[in-house]
Amino acid sequence: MRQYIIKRLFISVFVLFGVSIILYGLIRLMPGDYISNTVAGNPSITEEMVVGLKKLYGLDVGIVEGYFKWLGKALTGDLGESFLYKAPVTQVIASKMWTSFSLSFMAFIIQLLIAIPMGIISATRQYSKTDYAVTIFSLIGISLPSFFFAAILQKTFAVDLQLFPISGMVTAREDYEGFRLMMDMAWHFVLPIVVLAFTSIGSWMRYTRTNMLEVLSSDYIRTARAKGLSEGTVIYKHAFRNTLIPVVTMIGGSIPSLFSGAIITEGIFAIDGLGYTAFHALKAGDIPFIMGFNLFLAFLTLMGTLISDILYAVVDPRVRLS
Amino acid sequence: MNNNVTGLDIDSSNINESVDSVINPDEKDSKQDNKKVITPGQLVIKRFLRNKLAIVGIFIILFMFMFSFAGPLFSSYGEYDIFFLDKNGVEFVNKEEIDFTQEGIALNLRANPSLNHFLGTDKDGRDVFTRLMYGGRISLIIGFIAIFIQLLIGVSLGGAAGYYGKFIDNLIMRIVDIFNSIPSIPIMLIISSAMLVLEIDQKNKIYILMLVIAFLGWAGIARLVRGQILGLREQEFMIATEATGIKTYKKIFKHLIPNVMPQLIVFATLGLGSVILLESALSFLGIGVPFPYASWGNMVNAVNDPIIMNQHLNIWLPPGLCILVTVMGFNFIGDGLRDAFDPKMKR
Repeated sequence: MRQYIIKRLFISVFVLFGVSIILYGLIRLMPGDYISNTVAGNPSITEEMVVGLKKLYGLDVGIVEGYFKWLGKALTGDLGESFLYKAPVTQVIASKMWTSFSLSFMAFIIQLLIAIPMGIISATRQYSKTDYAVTIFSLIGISLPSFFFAAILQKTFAVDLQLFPISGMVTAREDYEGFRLMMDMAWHFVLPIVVLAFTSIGSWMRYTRTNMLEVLSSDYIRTARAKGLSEGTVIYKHAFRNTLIPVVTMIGGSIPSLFSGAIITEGIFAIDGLGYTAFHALKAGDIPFIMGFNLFLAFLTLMGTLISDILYAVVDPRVRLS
Repeated sequence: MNNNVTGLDIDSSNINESVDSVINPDEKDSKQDNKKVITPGQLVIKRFLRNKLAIVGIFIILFMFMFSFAGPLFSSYGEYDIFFLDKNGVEFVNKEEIDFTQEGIALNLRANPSLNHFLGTDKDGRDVFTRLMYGGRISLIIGFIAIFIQLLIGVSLGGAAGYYGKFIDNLIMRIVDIFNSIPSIPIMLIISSAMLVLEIDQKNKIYILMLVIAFLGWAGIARLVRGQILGLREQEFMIATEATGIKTYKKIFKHLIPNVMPQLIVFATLGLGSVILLESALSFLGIGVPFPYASWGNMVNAVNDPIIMNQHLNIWLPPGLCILVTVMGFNFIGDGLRDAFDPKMKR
């Protein structure tokens, strides 16, 4: 087990290197002088910063040498300073990711609370009307573009019915504090959470249903039925628990991605999380932030796979890692 | 949906036949009993056709293809035609240089739906309905080409990794891991700003968009193919190919790839939906299909204007619905195919 984890961590570091090479290459392969071009016309960037930036990315030296220079700094946690936010990239990411996390986490909980029971029910009543309804519902969720769904929600619930605020995180001009502030934020989070939850609830339902069906067709379920156990015991004690193995693995693997921020949803609802921040940085050509953010996302993806692989072995004793 | 008495009869005979065809796949032509013998392929088609959602999906996709490829032939309006109103309120299209000094000429902006414009005109005075058809063309073409390239890369790299194993497998799978961890929207943002600097032609931007979507998405296919081939390699028929001394490429393309086909078809169909979704999200953000070309995603983008959002639903609602319905169509078909190919599904 320990050996496996060490091996996987080693691979993850290797993959991160690969990602950083590709990202660095992309920026280096930019035509002419990418940095001068993107910063031209941006009055808040001084000549000094341009020089500093070129130095950070080693643009004054060759591509290989430049990469290692940049890497050396990145390894010590110095990802440069964001133009747009006038602070170290790591600091900006660390301060914004918790907003994104709280938003995604609430959506995640709602998703699981609805998707797992629905998936189980639709699997136990395969090809019934309920199953069809759940299938159609989840496929609509999978197929719905988040920006379009967000626009519909804004139009109906914010503009027409005026139930929820159209965007933002707090009510302007009201200086709420403490509990009132929390309630105000929660109220602003409702629509974005609905968007995030609904657009990915479908895949969780399908995943639960597929796995439950797999379990239900296995031999030990037939044995349980042959013993004369009641259907409830068969399903909830034998089948459900085994279905949870892949589901728990998947849940664990999804947790890191909750920090990544949702660029589109946060952008539309003006939620000041990582996705929103990143989008503005990207539009403004904030190169240090782009690099840092991309590396952070790659890191989260790798953590996700690692956690789900390890959890798989922990939850299911039949799995042997090598 | 529910089994009636006759349905049950067919079901039970089906199971028998499917068992037969699994046990004796090569004897499918020989007549056993008096029963009609079904090949595995026929069984899959039969199962697929019995899935109502999948049939709905087929009709949706057929309709969307007709709409976006044949539709423009029946329309006299072009994709970029801008409509004007003269001082008497009579509409005309700008074909030649227009004399703006002439009084009373105005763009026919955000017109309401009418017989001339089924869905009105957009914020630049273009016909929404016509752009909807051209937008569908672009979305579908991008989807198919991107998936095709993904399959090409994914199958060859995944196949090589699964077949050769050891060092090559390790190397390819690490590349897969790298591509799997690269986020697509931020990368596309970087590339689009580079294209701006390079002053790339708008038309070429579409090709680059296709390539980027393809290159960022093949990792999943490679992983799937590799996993399947690793399992197949251990089976007896592969030992038999070893014994008969068949050439390597023949082993891969004649014996291994056909066995992965079902999963590949399902993956590609579901993938088409997600590629269209990705393309529309990129276009919505303004980094996908560029102006003046229409795409469903960049048409929904008009919703960012509060006036259009509140008063001109005819501009942004139809393209959004088109994306939803098309992607849903592909997902219905993909889901139906997965069930049809799965031998464990008794139906």
